[in-house]
Amino acid sequence: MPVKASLRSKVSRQRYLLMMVAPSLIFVAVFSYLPIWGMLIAFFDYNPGLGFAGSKFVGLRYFKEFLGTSDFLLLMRNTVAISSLNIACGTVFPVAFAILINELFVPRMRKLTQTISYLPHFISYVVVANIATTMLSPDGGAINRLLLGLGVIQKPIFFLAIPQGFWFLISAINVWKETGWAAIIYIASIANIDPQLYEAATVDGAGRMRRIWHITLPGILPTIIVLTIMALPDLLNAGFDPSYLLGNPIVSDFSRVLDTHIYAVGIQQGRYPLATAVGLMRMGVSLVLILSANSWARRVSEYSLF
Amino acid sequence: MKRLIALFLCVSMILAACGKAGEPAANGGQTPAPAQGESPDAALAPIRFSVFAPDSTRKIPPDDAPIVNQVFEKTGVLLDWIVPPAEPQERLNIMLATDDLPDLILFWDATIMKQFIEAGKLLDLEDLMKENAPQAYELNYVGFRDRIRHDDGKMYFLPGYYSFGDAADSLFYPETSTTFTARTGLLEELGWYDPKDFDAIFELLKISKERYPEMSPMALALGPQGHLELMNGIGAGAYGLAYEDSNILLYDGEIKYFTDVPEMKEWYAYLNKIHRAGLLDVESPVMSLEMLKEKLVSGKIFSFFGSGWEPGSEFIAYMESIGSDEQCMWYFFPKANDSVEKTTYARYTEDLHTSGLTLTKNNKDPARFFKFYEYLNTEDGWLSSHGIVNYDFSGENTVENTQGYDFVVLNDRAPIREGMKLVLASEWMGHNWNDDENWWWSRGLENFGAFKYSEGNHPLGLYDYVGDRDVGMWWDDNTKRIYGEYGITGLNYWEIMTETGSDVTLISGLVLEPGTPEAIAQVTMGEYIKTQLPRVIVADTEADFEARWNEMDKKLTADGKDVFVAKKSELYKERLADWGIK
Repeated sequence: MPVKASLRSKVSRQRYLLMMVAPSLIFVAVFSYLPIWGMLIAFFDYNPGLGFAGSKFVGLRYFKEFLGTSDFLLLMRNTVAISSLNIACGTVFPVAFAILINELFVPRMRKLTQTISYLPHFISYVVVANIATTMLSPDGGAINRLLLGLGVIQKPIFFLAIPQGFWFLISAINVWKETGWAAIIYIASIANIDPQLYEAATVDGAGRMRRIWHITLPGILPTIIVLTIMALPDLLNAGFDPSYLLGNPIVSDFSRVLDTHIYAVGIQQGRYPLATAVGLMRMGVSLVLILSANSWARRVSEYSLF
Repeated sequence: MKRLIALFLCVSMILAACGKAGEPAANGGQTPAPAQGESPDAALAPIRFSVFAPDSTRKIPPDDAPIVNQVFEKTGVLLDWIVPPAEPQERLNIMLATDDLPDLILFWDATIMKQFIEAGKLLDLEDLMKENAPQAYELNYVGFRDRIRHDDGKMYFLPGYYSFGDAADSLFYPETSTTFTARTGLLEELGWYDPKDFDAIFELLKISKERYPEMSPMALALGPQGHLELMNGIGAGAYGLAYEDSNILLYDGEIKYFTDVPEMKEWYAYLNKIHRAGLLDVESPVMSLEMLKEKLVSGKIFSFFGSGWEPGSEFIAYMESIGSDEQCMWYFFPKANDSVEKTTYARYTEDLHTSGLTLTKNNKDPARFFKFYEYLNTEDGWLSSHGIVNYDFSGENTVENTQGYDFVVLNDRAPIREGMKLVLASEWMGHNWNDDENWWWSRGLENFGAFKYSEGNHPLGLYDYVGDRDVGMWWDDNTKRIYGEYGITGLNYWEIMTETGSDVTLISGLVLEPGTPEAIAQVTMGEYIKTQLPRVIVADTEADFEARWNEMDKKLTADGKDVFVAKKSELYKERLADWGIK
């Protein structure tokens, strides 16, 4: 009967591995866990120059202020709408793209397409926003010139000034930017499917679409579920860069999100307690979401994150 | 081997994590060695002071810029400018929350400066100044020393561009280009059309659209880093109103928010009319200053309301670079209508300073800084920081003769003031100023502006710098020709500026306590206006304009407009009482 190794002997055996991972653990502890105490700022009338000792405890005042602000519903609506679209499109498009890549016969073509597809991921959003602004400009932008040339439109469209289109514009840009990168994990997942299943299906007369529907999709379903569960906590995280860089006064009713609000009140106005309260509330909601999503996934399927 | 690799990785990661990511100084961060041949004593030992300036458009001269080098040779001091790429308020808030402070901070906003004072981040300057800059303290500051004290009676800031001496010795001429600016090509075609009021501008824009359909008649930079914050001032100037930058006006003896002043609504209705007539560039609501400049230079815009200097000078420099003298840009000071007696575009205050240069508690050598400050505020230091060196020049003031002299003393001219030698700008300087809009900065000419008094004659000075100011010195031939058609000469330029001057001392600097409901209301309303005002301007119908304007006013009221105005009024009345004004 094997003797269970003691903790001490395990640590001794793995001491070099532990030494290698120690700096990362220290880094996470110092920069991710230690600053958590700063959340207390949300409960004080915090003056950064005077610290906690010189600041008055105000309890839930800033939480109430945020919930009572006239912009609360607008911010929540925009945040949920943009992030929902991001999660939906961020699942559907990469899966579809991964399946399409998988169907390419020529390996070299497959690799080339995949490489080109994830290059936009590495481009800074500032550059992407500039590209989008230039291409969508009503004054000589490439998209308008194309549409005018094809006779689709009679006069240029100012895409960035269509308030109701802002959410879809952001999603479209995010799809362009992230599909290739997000598809990598699905491509890897498809590669793990037993090829004999495809052979058997072919022998049984299944066409391409049937193989995809009955083999490929079920094969990557666990991956889809896990990644979707991981994405759900971001329901209140619409991203700061797209709204800040592409938003403008005309579309502000549709572009302002929680992140830009936190930036405006926290950094620009210096109201750190209010910004911290908003961030803390968002974190609480995200925690509830991930627990709920995980529990639901475990109930309806055999797959879950934890 | 594995052990060694593991240990090495471990140690290198720890060292990398512990390394301080310091901010690189704007000028390299290296304290230079003294000039060859000099034996540095403690007073002249080289030193660098880091300065934060809340101006994202500020250009930083290199250390070897002639004027920077000149002052360094006299004082041993160099400045490391820290300029935020955008939103200086954000950077100041971060500094307030940390102890990562430069040696000096230049404040333009008294509210945030108060927060720094209350947090104990700034030094009390009075004793330091008395000991290390006695002349500046006793003589230069005598007229306003008590006005710049904080509530606790201490002095925390040094106002820049202050004036002293009597009016004859101070070049206290208001000047502005924040108004209507247009390309002069079409104006010349129309026989030097002079748009004197809003109706004339509207007609001009229509003509521009007919003759040059590929060019937008007008653009407004209403987007981020644009001219939105200048729109209220331009409207107030056209209607002859007294306006202050926190969106308040002195109207019929009372403080009012701009949305409660009928003329301001008329102004925005006028801009909306321009938009509805198809005369406004469609990208105006999202246009930044950079976009405006690009479109100007590429011939896509005829005119704009905004600050004309920077876009205009870049445009002129571009035209010069392509060898074209067809176009220029000039700014006009139109009245809104015939009932306006006098425009008030050029707002100024009489030595009312509520913020300025401060020393932080991290300042490496406050005493040394004040010795430097004392020098800059003597006549020698002041002239030196204007590029005036070896100025006892006895040659003829031509471009060839005055190469390298920014200003020259004309010994053969009869002095305007008894016993003082007249100092004038050299033609060489004017020539360079026109060739390169960055010449001013790359020479270091404005590097020390906030550290000394405004243009004028020092009471103990030997030189008359005020004299007669022919700013035509700075104009190229084409500019002189075009301005001449409008009756503008280098000598009457100041009269024209003064005619549109407006003393807003009484309503300037009514500073709110940070964190109070009115201070929060001011910020909240300011943020809201950035998003709503452009939408008001580009409303598609008159009914839409009315609806958006009313919606904006309603929201501003909900955000605390009345509380804000009430507090400003209270401070205004207190000031009138303190100053004995009825």
